[in-house]
Amino acid sequence: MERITDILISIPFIVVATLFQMHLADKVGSFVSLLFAFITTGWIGIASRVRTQFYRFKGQEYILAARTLGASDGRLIFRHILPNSLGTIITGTVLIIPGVIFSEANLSFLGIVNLETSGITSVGTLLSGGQSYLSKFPHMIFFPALFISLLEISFNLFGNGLRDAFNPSLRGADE
Amino acid sequence: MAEEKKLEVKDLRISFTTANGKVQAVRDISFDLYKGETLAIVGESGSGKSVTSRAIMGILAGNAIKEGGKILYGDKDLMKTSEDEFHRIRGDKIAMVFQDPLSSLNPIMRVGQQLTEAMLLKNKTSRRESKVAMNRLFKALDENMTAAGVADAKTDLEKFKKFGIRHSKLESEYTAALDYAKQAQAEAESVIIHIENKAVDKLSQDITDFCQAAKKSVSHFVVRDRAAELEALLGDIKSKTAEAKKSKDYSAVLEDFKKAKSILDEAVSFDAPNTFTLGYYLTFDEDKIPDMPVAELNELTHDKTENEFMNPFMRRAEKGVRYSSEKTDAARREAISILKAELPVFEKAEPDRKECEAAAKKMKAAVIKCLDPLEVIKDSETHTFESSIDYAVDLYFGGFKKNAKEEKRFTKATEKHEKASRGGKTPDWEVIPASYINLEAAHQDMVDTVKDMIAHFEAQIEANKNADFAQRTLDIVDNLKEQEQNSVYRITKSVAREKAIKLMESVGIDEPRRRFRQYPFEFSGGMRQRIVIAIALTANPDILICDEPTTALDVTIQAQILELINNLKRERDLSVIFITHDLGVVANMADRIAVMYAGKIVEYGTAADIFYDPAHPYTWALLSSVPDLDTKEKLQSIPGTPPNMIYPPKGDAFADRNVNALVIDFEMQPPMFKISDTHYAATWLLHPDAPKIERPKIITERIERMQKKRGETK
Amino acid sequence: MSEDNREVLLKVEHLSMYFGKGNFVKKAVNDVSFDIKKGEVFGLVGESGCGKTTTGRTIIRLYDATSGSVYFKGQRIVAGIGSYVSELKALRAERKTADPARQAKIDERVTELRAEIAKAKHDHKHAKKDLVTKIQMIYQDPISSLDPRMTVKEIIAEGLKIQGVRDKKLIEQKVFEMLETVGLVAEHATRYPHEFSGGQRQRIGIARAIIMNPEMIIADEPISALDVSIRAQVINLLNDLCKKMGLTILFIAHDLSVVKYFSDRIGVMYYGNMVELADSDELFRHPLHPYTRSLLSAIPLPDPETEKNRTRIRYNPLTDHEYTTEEPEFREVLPGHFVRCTEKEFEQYKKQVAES
Repeated sequence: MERITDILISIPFIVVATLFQMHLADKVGSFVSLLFAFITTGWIGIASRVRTQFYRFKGQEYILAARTLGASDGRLIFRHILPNSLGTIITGTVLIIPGVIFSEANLSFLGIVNLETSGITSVGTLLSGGQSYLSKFPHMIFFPALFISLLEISFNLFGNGLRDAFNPSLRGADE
Repeated sequence: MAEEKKLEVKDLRISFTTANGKVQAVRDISFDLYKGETLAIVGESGSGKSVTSRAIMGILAGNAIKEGGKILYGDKDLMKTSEDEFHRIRGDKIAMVFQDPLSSLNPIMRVGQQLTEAMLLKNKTSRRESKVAMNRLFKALDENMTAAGVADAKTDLEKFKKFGIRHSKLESEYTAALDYAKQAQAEAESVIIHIENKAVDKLSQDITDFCQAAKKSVSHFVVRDRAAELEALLGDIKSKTAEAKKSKDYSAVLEDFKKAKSILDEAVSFDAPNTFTLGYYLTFDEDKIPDMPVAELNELTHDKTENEFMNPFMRRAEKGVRYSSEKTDAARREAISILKAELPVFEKAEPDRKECEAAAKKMKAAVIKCLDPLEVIKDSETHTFESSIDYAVDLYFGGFKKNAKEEKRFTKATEKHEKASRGGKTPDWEVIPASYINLEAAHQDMVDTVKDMIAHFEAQIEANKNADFAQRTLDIVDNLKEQEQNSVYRITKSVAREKAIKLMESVGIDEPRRRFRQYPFEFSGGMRQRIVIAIALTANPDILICDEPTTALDVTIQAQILELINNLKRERDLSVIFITHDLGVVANMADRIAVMYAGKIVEYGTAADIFYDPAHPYTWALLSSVPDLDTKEKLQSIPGTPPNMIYPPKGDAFADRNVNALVIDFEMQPPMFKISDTHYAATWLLHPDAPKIERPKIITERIERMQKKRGETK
Repeated sequence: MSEDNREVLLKVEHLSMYFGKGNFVKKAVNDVSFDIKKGEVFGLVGESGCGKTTTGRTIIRLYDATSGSVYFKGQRIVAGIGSYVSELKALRAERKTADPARQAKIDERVTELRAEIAKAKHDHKHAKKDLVTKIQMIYQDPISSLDPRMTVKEIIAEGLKIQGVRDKKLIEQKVFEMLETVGLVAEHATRYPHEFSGGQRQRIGIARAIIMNPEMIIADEPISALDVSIRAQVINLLNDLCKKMGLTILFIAHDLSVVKYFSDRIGVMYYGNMVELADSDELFRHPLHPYTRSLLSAIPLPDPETEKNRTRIRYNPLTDHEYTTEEPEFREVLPGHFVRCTEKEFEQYKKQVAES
């Protein structure tokens, strides 16, 4: 499994998105094809992170202790390892959201994905449209840029807050 | 005993600010560390022993408050030393070995590199510093000797310098050759054993190492007469090894090895030459070493050096020393009068800030003049007067401001708390108690600093009346010799490597050559701890602080490490502070023991005092909870847990858990009662009016058993 | 020497545990055999890396044994096939160059071995669960052996929950009972492990083990991580439990004075081999194997006089033994006192004991 994720992670995302656009956009609409692109590539990072977490906790002594008490593998996973690793997993998951927002903005700015056809306004499209009027009407760039910056910052802060909330000092994970 | 004190801790008080209040970790402890002695600090976790050691090293946590006290080391007060100055002390003069070996090593640097890096860096700085110190001493000697009326002091000193360097070179050559000989001897022994036991897998590397070491051991004073024989043997061994490797039959080589080993055994047991006198001989008399047995050579050169140079030099130097000492005495007398004159400024009931600061300035200027440039043992009181008086004045006058702020915060917090509890539910946060700076104590501190200085100077003037100047001159000359050696002794990378490998072997790491290039994660916990100890010792510190180093190791390895520390202590004349909670280890290592509980020292004495005559109930409890090989009955465990140091108890902290507690134990803290010159305990049971309480049976029986055994063996 | 007619609870036969393969095999445990009788405390000592923890963990089936077997109450719970496999290999190699009569014998033996291997695999896989849970373990590190995200109640009750007990009231009652037995209070049940001190955490670990009503406890260095003053508390607790519940304890440690105080019999291990096995008093009276003597000379005693004059006996396996001509075996020098030695050393030891 690790080798598969290693191979998949090396495929650049823009290539995947473009391919999906080219082949699926006329069939299901550009929005859905973009969604597919994100779904097929988004799980890889989280998969390796979850795997690291599990390896980290697998060797701890309390797992061995539970095994001596007769715990089955399933019980070990769901009652012991998962609660301990939940903190890192959730934080990682939440921090993916700003990444997705940014990739989408990138793609629409470059023109690879045109969400206007699905009837959705995208910040990237606004930015690329306003590019040509930069010298005359700068506010056309300013407001979309402000919007996306605030969005990114708030999600990042939220993710940081979550990371602090799951910190050991509250529930005593490691001393 | 007029032993030299390496470290003096006086009235140390340290607290920590935490979210729940101020934790008073160390409350008023004092102890001394003498040169060449081991002081063991025993106590449970939370008794403040680690905090003390960290305060000495200057690595207290960020939320630590140094409430008061002094830690005097040489000419510095470690409580008030700046971080920059601490860099020179840490590692070089005071080294520390921590409890957790996992985090004490750099995980991405090879182990050998970590060892040699420390050595090379320290060598560079110590050479530089020794040169500076040596030159400073020479200059002071020159000035004072000329001022005392000695003619041509300069030429004398130039002579000294010249042959001093020659001596150091000879010394380092000799010790290097001797080390190589010893190393070759050990290697030969191990190779012989391996061949005899047919464990021949890794021999070829060892044999090459042996050949290298043996070759380097050929010098004038080691392996001289039989050098040709040794070289022939080495050549033989080299050629035979190649074929032996293929056929795995090393018996031919065995004979050669045995012969070589006998040569080395002989060489190692030769007399050592006196390189100091030899240096003089070679610089000013002949230029080559005469051919005679070492003992005779030593005598000849010794006589020459003594009569021609040393005796007249010492007499002249003594005049200089005497002059300098008299000058300092005069300065001291003046300083005493200035101090006495300025004292009333501080003693006033309401001292004025400006006046105090002006007075402090005058006093500081006077005291600075009282430093004798020719002193070998540094006078720490005089050196630290400046920072002490500044600190005391700041504390007192700053206290007014701080106390007002603290008062405001406390009233606000109490109001908030009351308002919240009036609503019905008491809030689950507590009001943090107000921590005031005790203004009276700070005032007294200021006055005491000045008074102590006056007393100190008077004592010094008294002592100087009967001072042995010849001895002092001798001390200075010895110091000069040492500085010279240090300034010439250069460590190259390969020398450092050999030293590191030898050090790794002496701390018990087998196959040190292979392990030299490994990373820390390839070692087990016990091995890592040994490497940490090796690193701590590379810089030849004066004081070694061991913070529970063997707690995580098992018995045989612990015994090895303790043996190692003891040997090193003897060889290098180290002073060791050993922190532990295992009384067996303490019995092995310690000369003096301080038992700590809840931030105070409850009993302090020599090892014999504490084990054969324990006086404090806590010591009794500790001794009775450790089984020895003859214990049969149930172990007496100490019930309960140590107290919460945010609200330290009013009386004796141990009273809660003490089965023999008196009523007064809960009311007042006991002072340190003196049982003998070396033995002190802080318990009300020693008060003349206290009831007589017997020690627990388990202890008395054990003491009887031990004394019987002692009687038998003696 | 007491003649013990007590039943043998645990029997370890030629247990070996090897890690790795080929040239890099690490023989953590190498052919260890001993018995533990019901109700006694058996101490297993040795330095770190000698395989005592591995032995404990193999007995409790956390590792799969390479060869040898462990019998608990007469039933085999651990079986390794290593010795059978190597014998098979040797026989197959011999078969190629043997004569027909010998070949027939070899075939017989091969079928025998195959049957043994099948039985061993079956025994190992299907060891009765309720038999295995009668052996419980207490771990060394009180910090990492408790799940930091579970409350004390959940930690202690875990064993019951795995067994299938669902009644909440019953669980609560049992948990409070256990807490009292180990010296803690019922109100501690809702707290998290990081709020306790080392000694208290170790008690929670003990409670977790004894709630399963075990017959045997393997204590893997339970007191090494604790302060000296707290060790006495935990030792007294274990002693009380041993007497009250009639437990048998396999006590793994490296602190010999505690082991002597606490155990009835002691086994000394060195680099995977059991080198000496005897009653505690006997072991300290007549230590025969050089390693045992070196271990005894390394124990620190709380007596400054003896300490300063004590010289540690060093043990060097290359010089202290002559193993080139003969392989050592585990022999009985005195009734109940076993030493790993060659024939020559055996005679030597016998003489030594007779003289002292």
